[in-house]
Amino acid sequence: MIGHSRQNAFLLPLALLSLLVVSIITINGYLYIQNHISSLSQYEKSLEMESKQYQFEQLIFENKNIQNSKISSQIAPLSGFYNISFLTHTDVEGETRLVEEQFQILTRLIARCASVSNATIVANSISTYMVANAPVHKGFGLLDLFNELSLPLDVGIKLLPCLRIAPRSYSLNLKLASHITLNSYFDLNAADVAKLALYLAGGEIPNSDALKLYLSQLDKEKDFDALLRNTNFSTSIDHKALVLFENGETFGYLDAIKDARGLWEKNRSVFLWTPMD
Amino acid sequence: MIMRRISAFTLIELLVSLALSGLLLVIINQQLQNSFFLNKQIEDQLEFKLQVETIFEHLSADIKSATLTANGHKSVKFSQLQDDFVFEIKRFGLAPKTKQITGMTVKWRMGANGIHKSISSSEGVSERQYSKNKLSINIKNFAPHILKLEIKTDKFQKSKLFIL
Repeated sequence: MIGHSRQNAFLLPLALLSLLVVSIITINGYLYIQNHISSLSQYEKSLEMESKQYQFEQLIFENKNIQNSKISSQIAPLSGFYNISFLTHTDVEGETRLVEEQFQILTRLIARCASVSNATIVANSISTYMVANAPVHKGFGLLDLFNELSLPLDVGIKLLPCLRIAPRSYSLNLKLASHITLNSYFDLNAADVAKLALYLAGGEIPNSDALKLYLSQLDKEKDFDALLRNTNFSTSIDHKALVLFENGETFGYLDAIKDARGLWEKNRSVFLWTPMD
Repeated sequence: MIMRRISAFTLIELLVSLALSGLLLVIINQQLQNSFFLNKQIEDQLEFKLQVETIFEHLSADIKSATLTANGHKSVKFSQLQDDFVFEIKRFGLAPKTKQITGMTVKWRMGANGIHKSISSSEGVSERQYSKNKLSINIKNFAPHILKLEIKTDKFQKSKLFIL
């Protein structure tokens, strides 16, 4: 009888101690599992977001705009935009140098498109980067360049309708070029640019020879040969962008380029946020 | 007078049981103190381990949203500054004060001085100290653009791969 009560008396604290140890281990284990479950849900959300972004990216290949109550899109051809890769030239020894004439074009474009007072400084930093990093690889976009140079995003956004980054072989399609681009590229006055744009659109100037003849009449002393090497008069586009808006605010910029086989491929996608509805 | 003996513990038995109970109380007290101390240690370690995991997630998100460089890879640079490693990531994001989308440079500094993050954007620099615990950092390049970051403390080590 005595032995029995002693046994009970000694078991209770031991049982309590075991319970305490087990509960401590359980609480810590629970916290650990809880954290992993929370990480899992974050991972699932990130997968869902990637899938949504992929769906948006497909729109550019389907060549269609979306219009609903919240989200809309707009396709823009980029072939008529100035290609920043024209700025550099790599010689036979593999040395990359800046093409001064192209630097002047870029400066004029920046001044006219973004209306910035320090266009030369911006053009200079872009040129320095391009000389140091030429040739650019697929996927590198204008917004990336501006962020690399720590240029304000608002300046970059103003320049999006004027500039593009693509391999050097992607020449300037003059038929799709804006007045600002033609003006800056050939350094003509507004009246001559208006006429040139009209002739290009109407087919009166269908090729480089015709354009060379026309330009030489406007400026007899200037040699336009080098400039015309970077141009084309094609009716098809080789580079396009899709801008996505949510409630009127831009949230995505998708860029697709035609490869050597003439097939569209993704060049660069920038999502500032991803609408999940 | 008839004396009735009531059955009970003898004095010696009581003294022995008291001594044993006292001893047991001391042992239980020590065990309890040890348990609470151990629990605090586990909690601190776990908390820091989870904090490190969270930091890996934050760093991963920063790298994932990094802009690209001309070579087509993420704009992520890492360098060593005294005993610390510094990750410099260029990305777009919300400016901490104005909540406007802007280009920014995110710097993660990890090492002997703990973990520190700073964000530089057009509106200035915002800083945050995530931990003051001393860490040992090890970085390995598995492939030209695959990076393994290993964080070591005296209690544990964790690592994560990042694709640049």
